[in-house]
Amino acid sequence: MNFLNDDDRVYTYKDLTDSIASNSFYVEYFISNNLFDFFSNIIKALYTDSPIVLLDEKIDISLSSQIDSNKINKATIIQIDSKVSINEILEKVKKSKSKITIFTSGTTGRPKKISHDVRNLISNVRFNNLNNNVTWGLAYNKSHIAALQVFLQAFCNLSYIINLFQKPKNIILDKMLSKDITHISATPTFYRMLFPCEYIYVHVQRISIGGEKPSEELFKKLSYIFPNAKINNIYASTETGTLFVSNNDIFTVPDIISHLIRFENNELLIHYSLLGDFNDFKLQNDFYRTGDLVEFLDLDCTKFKFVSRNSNQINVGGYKVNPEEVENILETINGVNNAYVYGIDNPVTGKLLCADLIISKGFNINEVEIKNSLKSLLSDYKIPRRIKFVNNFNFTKTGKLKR
Amino acid sequence: MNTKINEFINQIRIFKGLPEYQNFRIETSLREDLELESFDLAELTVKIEDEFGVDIYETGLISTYGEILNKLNKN
Repeated sequence: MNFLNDDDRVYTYKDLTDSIASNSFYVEYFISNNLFDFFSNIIKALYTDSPIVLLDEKIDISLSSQIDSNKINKATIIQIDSKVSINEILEKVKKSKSKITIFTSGTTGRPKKISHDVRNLISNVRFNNLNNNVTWGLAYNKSHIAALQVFLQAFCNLSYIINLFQKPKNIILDKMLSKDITHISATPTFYRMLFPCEYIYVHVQRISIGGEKPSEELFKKLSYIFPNAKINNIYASTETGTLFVSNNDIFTVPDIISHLIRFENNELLIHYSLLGDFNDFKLQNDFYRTGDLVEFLDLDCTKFKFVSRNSNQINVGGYKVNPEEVENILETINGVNNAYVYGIDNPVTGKLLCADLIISKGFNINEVEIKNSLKSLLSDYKIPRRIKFVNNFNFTKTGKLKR
Repeated sequence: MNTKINEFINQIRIFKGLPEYQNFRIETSLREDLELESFDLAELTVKIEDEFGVDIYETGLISTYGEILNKLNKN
């Protein structure tokens, strides 16, 4: 029974069980570029009800101040029966009392730390019909909540996972055919990259779209190349996990959480009980303001579309970037006096991150040097792709930049 | 025009840690041959629009080097 395919290396569920049973330690703050080790470490934490923090290989400098570097890759001893079976592991993971911590771009320039109860995340897992062979295409960064949800969904059903994250189009399409991927969850940017597409993938059963607002055109194109797939549009965030699911761009609030959802001036507000634990959210009467605006489609205000997502942040290909965080980092570079970071519309990634910089007198620095400086300070998706040098900004700066 | 486009593409490749690409042909694939990913293609479209005033993706996604030249020549 296969567990994971990563760069054409195949790991079985037996490999996973052996890896869990043979090591009597796990790492709470684990950094690894090996996806199998990363997932195996998560399962070890969940199996032993231990806390775990999901980190990318590259830690943003703004995040490093929140993490004790001595804890990174430091092993903690745990007790696991060396003869444990995958089904025993699975049953224990389903009831795990672990908390999983994830970092996300904060609105204050400082990443937010959010801890989720595994039980809450697992409550979103759908259990497959046993006769149905499901293979997931993983198209998200492994340290993000969307990847965690795909991983838990696949693991809880002992399904096969094929890593598609940041693979070239030809490899993705090839794997979709040869590995018979049946389920994919990805951003609109990922799906847009598949076109033009010469094939029709009849074996694909489910397409989930998350992270950005998809266009009607994309729905049509996906329906064409995946004619037998149920297409889901997901509203999820690092703070809440999956909240709303729809088969088009119209959402309704599920009855079960209707008392925990409010709208004020068309902004979506979420009750704190739906959020993970957090360190710096501001609540208003127990509700969290998402900044996401909706448009109602009926007089009863039950059906709605998202008009815009969190106005402070820039959604670059499904990754939310806080411009103030990037500005703060840019302004630490020698010679950069002032920075303005913004997104411009782009047909490939929805938005493209750009920066205008005012350089101090006497300094001579170019775009390539700036980008190279940022490489060691920021995750790739937070690095502005177009940098312009300007003498002043064309707007009033009143404490906070107008965006 | 070609020189400028080649320069944009190679700037992106070098930033990604890839070597300069020399053998540009009409059929060179942006993704498979030049190894440009979504963020790279997004950057390339903006740089070309800044330089030539043409949105190469205006009428749909493109996949080869030759298609970029065609779009620019038509404008």
